[in-house]
Amino acid sequence: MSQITSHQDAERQTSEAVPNISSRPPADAPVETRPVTYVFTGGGTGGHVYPGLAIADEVRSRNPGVRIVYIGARGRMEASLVPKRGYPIHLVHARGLPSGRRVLALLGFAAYTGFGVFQSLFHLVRHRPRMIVATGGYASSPVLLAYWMLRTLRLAGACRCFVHEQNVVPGKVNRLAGRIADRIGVSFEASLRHFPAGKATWTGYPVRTEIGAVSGAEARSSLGLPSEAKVIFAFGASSGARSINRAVVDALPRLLSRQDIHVIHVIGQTRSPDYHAEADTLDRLERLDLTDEQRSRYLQSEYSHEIETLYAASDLVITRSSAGVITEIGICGIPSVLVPLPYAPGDHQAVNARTLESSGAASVVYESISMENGQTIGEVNGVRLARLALEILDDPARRDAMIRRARETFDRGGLDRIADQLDQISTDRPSDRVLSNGRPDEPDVAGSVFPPEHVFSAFSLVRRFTTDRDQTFIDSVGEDYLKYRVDGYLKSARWQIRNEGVKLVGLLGYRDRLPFILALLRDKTPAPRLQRLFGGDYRQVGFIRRNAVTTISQLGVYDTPVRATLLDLLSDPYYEVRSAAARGFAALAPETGDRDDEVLGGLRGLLRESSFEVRSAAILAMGKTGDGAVAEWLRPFYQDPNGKVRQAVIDALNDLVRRKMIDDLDGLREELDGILITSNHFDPDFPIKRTLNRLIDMIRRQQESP
Amino acid sequence: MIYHLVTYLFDTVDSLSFLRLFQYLSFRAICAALTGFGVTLLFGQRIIRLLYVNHVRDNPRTHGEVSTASKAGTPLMGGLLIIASIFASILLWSDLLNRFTMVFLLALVWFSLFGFIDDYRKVRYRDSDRGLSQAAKLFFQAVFGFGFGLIFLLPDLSPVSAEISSELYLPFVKDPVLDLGWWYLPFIAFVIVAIANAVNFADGLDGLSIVPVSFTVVVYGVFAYVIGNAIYSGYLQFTYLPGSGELTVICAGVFGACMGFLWYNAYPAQVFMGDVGALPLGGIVGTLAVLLKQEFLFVITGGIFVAMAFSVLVQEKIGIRWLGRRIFYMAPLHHAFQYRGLAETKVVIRIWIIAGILAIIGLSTLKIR
Repeated sequence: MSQITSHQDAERQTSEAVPNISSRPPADAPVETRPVTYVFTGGGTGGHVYPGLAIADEVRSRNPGVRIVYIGARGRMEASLVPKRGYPIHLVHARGLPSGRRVLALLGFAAYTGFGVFQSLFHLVRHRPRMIVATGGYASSPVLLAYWMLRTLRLAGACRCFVHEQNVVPGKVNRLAGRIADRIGVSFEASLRHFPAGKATWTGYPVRTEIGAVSGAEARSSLGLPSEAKVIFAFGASSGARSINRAVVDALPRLLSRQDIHVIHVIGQTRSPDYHAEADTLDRLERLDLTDEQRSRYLQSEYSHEIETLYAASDLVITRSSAGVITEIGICGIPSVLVPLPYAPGDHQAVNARTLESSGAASVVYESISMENGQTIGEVNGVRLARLALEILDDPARRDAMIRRARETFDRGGLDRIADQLDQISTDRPSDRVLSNGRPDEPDVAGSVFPPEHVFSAFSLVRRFTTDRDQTFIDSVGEDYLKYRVDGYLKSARWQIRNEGVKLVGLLGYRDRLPFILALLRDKTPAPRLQRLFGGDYRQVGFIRRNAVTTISQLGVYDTPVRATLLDLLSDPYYEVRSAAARGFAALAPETGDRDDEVLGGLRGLLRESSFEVRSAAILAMGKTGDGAVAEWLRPFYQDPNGKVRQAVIDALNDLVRRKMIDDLDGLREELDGILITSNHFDPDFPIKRTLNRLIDMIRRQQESP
Repeated sequence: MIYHLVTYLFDTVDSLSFLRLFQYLSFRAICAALTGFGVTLLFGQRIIRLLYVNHVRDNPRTHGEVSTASKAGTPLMGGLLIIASIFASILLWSDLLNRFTMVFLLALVWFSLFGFIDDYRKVRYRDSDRGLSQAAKLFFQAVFGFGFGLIFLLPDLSPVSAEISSELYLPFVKDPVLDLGWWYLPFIAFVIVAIANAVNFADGLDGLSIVPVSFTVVVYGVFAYVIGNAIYSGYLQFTYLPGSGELTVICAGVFGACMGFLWYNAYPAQVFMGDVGALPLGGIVGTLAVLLKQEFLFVITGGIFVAMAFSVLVQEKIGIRWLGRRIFYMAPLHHAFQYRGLAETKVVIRIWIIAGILAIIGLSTLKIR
């Protein structure tokens, strides 16, 4: 340890020696005629605004003379939140990076952001801030770019830039900000590796001072809850969450059947056309048939301004896993069941949740997808949620461990450390580097192969599972999480990702996703006009449909909906889908069952196709599912110009004979002479390689059994 | 070298005037072809063994249903053999001070170098996907394309006179259709990149690319002979390019080297050319097309390559990347034929036949104008 310290000291000395050589004045300290200004930026969503406001409050309380100005995105959360806190705000143009590679959208984004940069430049030049504090989100990108321009042009003066990252995996803007900022504060050590070494330091999350200030007894009495009750507090994020609300209501009968359990449910104020939080929740509640006594233990509200009181009163929290919420829960020391908001940028909520789960501070339940009114929505199983909540509440040892781990992971010093960093960099030269990761006791990172913050790409997962179902990998990642990732791919807007999702369902054998796969196959929304001009057909492109059929075969379920879907696909516009559907029948249809005229008729229709691949697949499927009469249909193909078709005919006859479907074997034997067997195809054979393999084989066997 | 030596000798020694024979293009072309062929035959076995012993071998890459696995372990970088014999025949039989020769040598060296880097990486990492990326290859090709274009368009450096260097000629048309001016520069870069890539795509089956390449080179050799000869070019109504006849000797050398390589590469292959062969071959064909101002002749003579490049582009960029479906069964075309059930030998020989017919059609544009 002492060695490390001395090494650090040595580095510090050299860095301090630099200004003397260049004989620069020690620090820019102009005569202050105007108040020191701090510019805050960040937003787009509440998760980036609240930490900024908390830091602003702290700065204001430390130096009441500091002027605070907020620059945010037009029309987003910060536009209303910031003035409410009493800070002036300037609104600039900013928008998120469009997904995919649509050139027009990218150009629009560039123009829009470019304009925002100009506006920010204007504000920065006007206010001449001493410090820019960015808390992430796309709203901060124009300000950061403007600062970067000023600094490159050496016009930034004494201005410094501090960036705070709330989540484990930094967003796109903060990754960029890592290069621009003078100092970066992170909430989790795991994120340090995403930033340039020497710039980033662990500060923790800036938690508001009110959190955790209320005592449990006080809170319960103010809410009218008995002190010995077990209180479950469920809420979505600031905007509410359909999946959590519905699951909590579904869980109520189980939870409230226990006399000692009280449930506080904050449902949020969502009133979008497809989900009205209040109406939907009340509607579901009425169908539950709860007694009045049970209803009395269920407290519901739309929104709570005193969340600190609710925290203080509760024994278990069910919520989203945004960085702010989990830090607040952690500081209060409450065990939690986390339902990550699916596929938030970088899937950061899932990563946050998994980081906590791996440290033992929380349990995670993932949303699964289902179809409602033709839309894909997330869903949480209420019964499962109730069971998990009761398990935690009924196991004091586990609860205590969770509380302990939560308290260890989070502390309330975040605001202080951030304010210290701000003070430090506003006086230091920007070249001063951070020499440790900021955390006094650096805990061991568990030696797992894939840390919880690792986000798997769909393509890497498909590669991993193509050869076999790698069970040790599945166990190390968690079956639930894997399933959740696959759901995310299935929902993706990019067909390339959906396609990988479809493959994974088959490779991993997720039979409960079969209805979703069938729904995908029934989705005949046409592709964009330009694509159709070049031969595209549906939004669920050819590859997806083909792979979906393969997936169905892998799942091995053959029921009425599967049969109907496959029958429908025999007339699909894309040839690979038609042949895949024929192969699907070959793989799934019962070999010994009764003759299925509809299927055989459909397959027979494919025999007229020009594509040899479709014809071969149909012929093979007939051999697997047909009866003796099918042999009749195959006769016209005995001299088919394509050798592969003829080979399929022989294969099909093989199957028919094996299944004892042919009565007139003598007749068939005679007919076989009519099959054209000269072929354009042969398999090369290298005798020398065969001999070598034999030798290698023998050596291996002798090594194995000495 | 022999060319320079002999020229020196009969200039100084009267009794050696019979050596004047060595000045004739036709004689030197035949010698160059024989040298190219002879060098490959002489060193072929040794180089193949050397490559194999040093683990310069092909790693299998699966193309869907068509398995190449049975050929895994075949020595790679046979292109070195081709390059070496082309060099040998040029050094021996060409006029090295001729500007056409110099530009040609530049192309050969440049494309060989980055072809070598590509193959070396593949062998080094034992992974056929770890070679140079498509973007890197395009970059190197484009750099040469623009550099070559500059040389071609600057009157002080160009092997072609300034009046016609930026004119655009078409097959079946006597006179230049268009003077592109400096727009000829990007056009040259495009031609180089397109032809180099097209030839590269065709390198997939034993003997598949080498024979169409040699047909193309022969056609360009004949054109060089005509265009570089004041009388013939006048008779066939070509624009006379003084000095370009030297390319006939070079083309003959390349043809000889190709035939020598085919000796070993014929099915079943003892050696693959690899990118160190395919890239320089594509590069020099592109260079020849530009030097002789017969860029569009390649569309006819090298029709096989154009078709393959087209199938790859359509399949990959439009079909697989964008539409999410196949447009051909497989791409490049030769894999599509295999997929339909044609054996490799059959595919290769049929493509040779088509290439031969296309070469004849290309030659017919000598007269039909």
